Amino acid sequence: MKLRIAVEGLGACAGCEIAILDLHEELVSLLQDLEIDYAPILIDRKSLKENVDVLLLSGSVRNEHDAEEAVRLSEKAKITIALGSCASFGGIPGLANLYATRELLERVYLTTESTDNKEKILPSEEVPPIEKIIKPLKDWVKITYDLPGCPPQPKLIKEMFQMLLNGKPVTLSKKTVCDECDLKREEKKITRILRWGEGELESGRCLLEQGYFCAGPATRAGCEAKCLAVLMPCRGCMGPPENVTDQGAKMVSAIASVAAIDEKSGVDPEQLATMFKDVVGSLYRFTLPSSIISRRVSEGKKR
Amino acid sequence: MPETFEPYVVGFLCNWCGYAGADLAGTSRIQYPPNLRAIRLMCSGRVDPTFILTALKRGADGVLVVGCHPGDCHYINGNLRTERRIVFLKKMLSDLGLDYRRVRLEWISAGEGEKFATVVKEFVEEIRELGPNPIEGNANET
Amino acid sequence: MKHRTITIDPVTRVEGRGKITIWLDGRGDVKDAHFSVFDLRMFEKFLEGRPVEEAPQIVTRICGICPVSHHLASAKACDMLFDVEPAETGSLIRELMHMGQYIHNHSLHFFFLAGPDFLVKGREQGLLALIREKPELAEKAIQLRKVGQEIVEKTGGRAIHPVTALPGGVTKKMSKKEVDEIAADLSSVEKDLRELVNACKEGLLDKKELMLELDSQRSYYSALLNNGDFDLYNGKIRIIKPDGQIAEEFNPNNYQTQIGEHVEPWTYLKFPFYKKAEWPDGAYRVGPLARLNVAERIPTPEANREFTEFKDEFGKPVHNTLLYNWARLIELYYALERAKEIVEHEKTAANDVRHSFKIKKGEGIGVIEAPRGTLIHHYVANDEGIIERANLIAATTQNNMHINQSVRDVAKRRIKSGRIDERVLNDIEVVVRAYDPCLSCSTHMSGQTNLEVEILNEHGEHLKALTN
Repeated sequence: MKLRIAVEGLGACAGCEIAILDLHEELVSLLQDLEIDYAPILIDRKSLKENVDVLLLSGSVRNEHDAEEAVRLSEKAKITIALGSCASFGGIPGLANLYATRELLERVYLTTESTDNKEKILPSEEVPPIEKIIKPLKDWVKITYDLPGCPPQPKLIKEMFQMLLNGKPVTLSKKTVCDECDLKREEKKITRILRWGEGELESGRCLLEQGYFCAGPATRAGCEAKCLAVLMPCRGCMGPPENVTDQGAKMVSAIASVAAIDEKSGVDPEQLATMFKDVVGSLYRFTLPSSIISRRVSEGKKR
Repeated sequence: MPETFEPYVVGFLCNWCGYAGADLAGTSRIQYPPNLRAIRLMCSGRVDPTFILTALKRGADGVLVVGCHPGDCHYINGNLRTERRIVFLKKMLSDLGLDYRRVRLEWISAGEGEKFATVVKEFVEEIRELGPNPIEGNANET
Repeated sequence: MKHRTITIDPVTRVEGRGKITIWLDGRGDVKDAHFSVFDLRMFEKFLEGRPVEEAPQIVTRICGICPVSHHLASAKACDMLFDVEPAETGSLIRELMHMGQYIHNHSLHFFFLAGPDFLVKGREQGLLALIREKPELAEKAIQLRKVGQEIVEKTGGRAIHPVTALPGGVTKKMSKKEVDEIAADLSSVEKDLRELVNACKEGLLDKKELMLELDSQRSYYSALLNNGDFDLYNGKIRIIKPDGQIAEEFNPNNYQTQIGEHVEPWTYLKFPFYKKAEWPDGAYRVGPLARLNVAERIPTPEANREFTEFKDEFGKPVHNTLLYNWARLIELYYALERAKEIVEHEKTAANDVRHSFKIKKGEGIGVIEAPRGTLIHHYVANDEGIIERANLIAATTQNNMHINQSVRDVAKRRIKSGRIDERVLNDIEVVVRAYDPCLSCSTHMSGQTNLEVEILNEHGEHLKALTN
């Protein structure tokens, strides 16, 4: 019995869909056991008519059309998998939650340098309204499993298919990226926070120790630490580790634990904090919508 | 007639110092506002940033964390860890639009009942000035 | 006959989500047609507040098929902003990444997305049909694309959403072993490439009439050019007129003086145009066909040979939209040849991968030829090196006007007196696919690229009506 699947991206970049294709020849053999009922990027079916076993849904809900589509598709699936970090947590587009919808639209249509819009038109005819904030897919539809990653590495996708074909639940690593990283950790103690690219960038040594912000301690393993292998600090795309909902909070704890705590000469924590630019964009790059506060608020409104 | 806003403040107090200090204020009959909801933990270092964020998300207008003076922590440096966490957390909260003064860290020892009461009084008034927590009902206005 | 609308929703075998709507008048002839897209994420705004050096990794998420283009255009903008010249080896590695992307991207487009329309009978099943009907061809195509992705992974750290580019170069040097592996991979697919390209050309020629007759747009064309040489990485922007004459050639840093973006109330996607020719005449096309029209020669031998034959056969400039597909094949040759040149270069495995930079305020513009056309990233940062403003013009956005025009023209030609059949609707999709539209990229900034769309589902039932 072939596993019937549907694949769709909502307000997405298609990276997760290409990640499936990146199984290359292994995908061809996998196709023996899969029946693709709906996948607009690959085949010409215009709608999903029958029920499927698995829906692979990537991207995040950015407008009303996305929301309707998510509901329409997941109603026909026995299992819905949030494929990738946008689906699981909101993803990088979730950073739009730091701005009001009006600010977002005005930048695009009125103030960008090349725009020629003397009538100050803000398009609003026949377009599905934009959702005020991005929320993770699980706030819209029932999600059976998350498969995080931006995109999930082909190895993870392959494992996911194998688990599904064997009727097993889709499970993820319980470790953090530090576990998969080959850089040497000597003394986890930071006395400074450098901007990425500033300073020497020694290869072979833990980047957090060198003073570069790295989200490894607060990020789930499964990606084989590919970024660290090319000396790029982890930015947290696999989302928070097992049993952690708020990745940023976890990272704050992690930094605090290594922030020169035993130095007698003492690095003033306030000073350390001023070295750290863009706290929200670093700690919640992929997970802002699924974090506890989830968006920017404004003070000054009286109840 | 506008309703006066009564701040709801959550306090995470460490067992050895903060909470003991609060007790002392009580037994010494030193008045302090009833707006504080005290939660006792063994150490201020137990305060996970998640607790503070959750308290704010659920509507607390302010969060007070009280630990031992540096050097006096019953577990050596739990209080220093929390100090660093809160410094970064405040920056994060600012970036998210919240006034960082809604979170406050104080060192109050078991013998400083007077100080405890004063701190709570000041903090509650500061929060009253800031106004209610903007998180609920503020979903990114257009 | 009542007013009627026809919809193709979603447009399949393209990246992103799009829909085509056609309005018929009382006689059953085409009154108007639109191509609309639903993706929307507004990167330009939320890049504000982010440190400059983080931009190259954030912007890759605009698109999962051409993330390398965004990564590199962004890195170049950051280089300029921080006043740092990229190191020689770093630039070689970046360009090699770019070529790897082209190999992946153009193979993906032809074999997995658009190609099935020309290569197989069961084209509605796309890649699945290719695997079923022409398994050997499919296998070779998959291997070719794999080589491309592996090059990106070796140079960029990851195949999708690479991370190595930062201001001043790249993070890590390549080992001799890695470079040799790439060289071996390239050699291994060289023969297959020729076979694959020939199979594609055959497929296109099988439908020669369709290819030449379906759609032709006498448009302006724009692309990067390096002293007359075709170049996907560096150069000046040259715009040519429909008759082939040069209209303008300028330093991409001055794009604002030459390119404007028009706004319509009924769509979220803007319409870039060449200012001196004004809107709408100044709307130009970008991408493989445009690049070949603008270039005087291709600096690699095999590709140049193909290029010359192409021009001799089809004209100077070439206007038939479906020939975008052919042009793309020629670029595949270039990508392979250029990648080979880079792996054979003595400095590719050298140590000098990056120059250090100082955080400062500044303004930077980075331009590159993405697979679908010219891509521009523009940032302004304050003295803490935090982005205050960002502007992006993506490739497909620049084709917006003509994609619409092509849809309109094909619809008008094929739908008369209310006669519509399956084949006709498919022809319209075929013309859209020729542009290889990257709908996520084009709508990074605005709301949907919506062109009013009406829906009639595949059973012919009205779902929504828009009376005009």
